[in-house]
Order: sequence, then C-alpha cells, then structure tokens
Amino acid sequence: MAHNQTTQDGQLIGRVCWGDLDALGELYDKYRMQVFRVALSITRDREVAEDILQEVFLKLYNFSDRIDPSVSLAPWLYRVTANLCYTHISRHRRWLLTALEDVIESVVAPSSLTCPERQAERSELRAIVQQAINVLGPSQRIVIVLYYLADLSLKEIAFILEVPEGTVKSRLHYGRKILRRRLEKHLKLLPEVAYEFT
Amino acid sequence: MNLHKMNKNQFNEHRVDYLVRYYLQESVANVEPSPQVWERIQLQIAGDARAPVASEPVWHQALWQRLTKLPLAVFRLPDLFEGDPQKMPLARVLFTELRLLNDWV
Repeated sequence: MAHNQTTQDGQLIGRVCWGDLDALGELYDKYRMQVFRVALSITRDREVAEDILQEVFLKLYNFSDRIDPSVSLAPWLYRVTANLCYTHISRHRRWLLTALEDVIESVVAPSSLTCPERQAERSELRAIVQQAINVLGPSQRIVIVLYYLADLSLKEIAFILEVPEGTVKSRLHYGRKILRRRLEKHLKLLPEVAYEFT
Repeated sequence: MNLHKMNKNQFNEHRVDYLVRYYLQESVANVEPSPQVWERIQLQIAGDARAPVASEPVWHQALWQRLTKLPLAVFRLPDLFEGDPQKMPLARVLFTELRLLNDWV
C-alpha cells in the first residue's frame, strides 16, 4: 500500500517536473490538509498557515526535479513546512503575544460542543493546554506538533528536520517536561476534566 | 502500557501526553485551508512562467506610472521580504501590479 502511494507520488512528481499543473493539483489535494494543519498548529495563525501551504507547493513545483520520486513525498513536505514555520517563528516573535485562544475558537466547530457545561470544561482545559504550549520554544514546539499531531516517530522527525535522532529525543523530552510541569499543576485542580481523558 | 500497572508518575505522564495529543488534534480537526490558496498557487506559477519584459523606455514609463500609484509601504522592500503576515497583502499588491503591467506591455 505504502509502496503504491510512493509510486503514485513519484509519477505525479515526474509530471510536475514537466510543468503539469494537474499533477500538482492532485498532490495538493492529497497533502494540503496535513501541511496546513501542521503549519497552523505551529504558527497559530490561519493566514500564515495558508501562506506557508502556498509556499510549500510553489517550492514543490519549482524544485520538483530535486525530489527523489522513489521515496514518499510526505517527509519532504513536512521538512519544507517545518523550515518555513521555523523561519516565521524566528523572525516574528508575535507568536509569543498572539492569543492562541482566538485561533482555536475560530477553528473548532461550535456544533461539536453541545452541552454548555462540557463546552465550559473544554474551554477551560483548552486554555490550560494552550498556556502550556505557549511556553515552548520554536524547536520544541515543532517537534511536539510533529510527534503529537502528525503522529511521526522520532526517526521520521529526525529525517524531516535533518538533525540527529538524539536531538529530537532531547527536544521532545524537554518539551514534554515543560508541558507536564505546567499541566500537572492544573490537572490536580480539575480532576473531573482530567478523568474524562484517561 | 497497561493503565493498571502504571505508578502515579507514569499515569500522570500518560495523562498529559493524551491531553496534549487530544488538544492538538482537536484544535485543527475542523479547519481547512481556503480554496483561494490553490488559486493563488496557480496564479503565481502563471506569473512566473511569463518572461520579464525588456527594459524599453515605454516599459519604464508605464512601470513608473504604476509604481507611483502604489501605497508607500510597498516600497519598504525589506519589510516585504521578512514575511510579516501584516505586510503580505502589500507584497501581493505589488505582485499583481507587476503582472498586470506585464500583460499590458
């Protein structure tokens, strides 16, 4: 199955090399959500995430001849996405000041939260988690998002970020440590909310 | 790992892991990029595919006329290329103007 996916991607990349916009469109439809969600989770800004998505696929079009068609395209896309996010975060410290809650409120469908009490609990929990994530630096944040959101292994993240696996392990370890320290304090205060997720 | 065999510390770690994963996935579960992104990609590719126009006097003149109508902030080029999302619309204005000019010439 994975081999078929790779072959299919390879064929599409080959067509993109010849300037085939339909092939790029097929790859865009296939991977846009993954790229966009990772970018949004890291940058916390919808417009920036859309700009990054655009930039990733423009790079795919412009540098398609440098992409190995025999391997999966996903790691290459994650690598470019992570690099663009890192550049954005490094240049714009705005992310430290941006209210994540605004972004989250705008992207989470209100229909999924029916009961007012549950809605209040979730909002409170979301606020606690977002405060914890706010503290992470760009490197830790990117690793945390790739690990928890994209469900990638340490080895895959190391390949994507072009750093040793030990570096990823270290960033994940310290990122989790910060998250735990921040969250455990609050979870004791919110037992009924915490138990819902255990 | 089986929840029943965890000590308190492991249980708390597991709980926090679960929470972060749940939160991150939930926060983007119902969000999609706007259709305009793909349109912009196509536009940019189409724009790049056009060869730049030779610097003839008429081209210079037309360019100057166009540029003088642009907002002053557009001329702060270093800001444009720092990727500040607040200034990206200006970059797009410049890009659109140049593309229109290219078509016109």
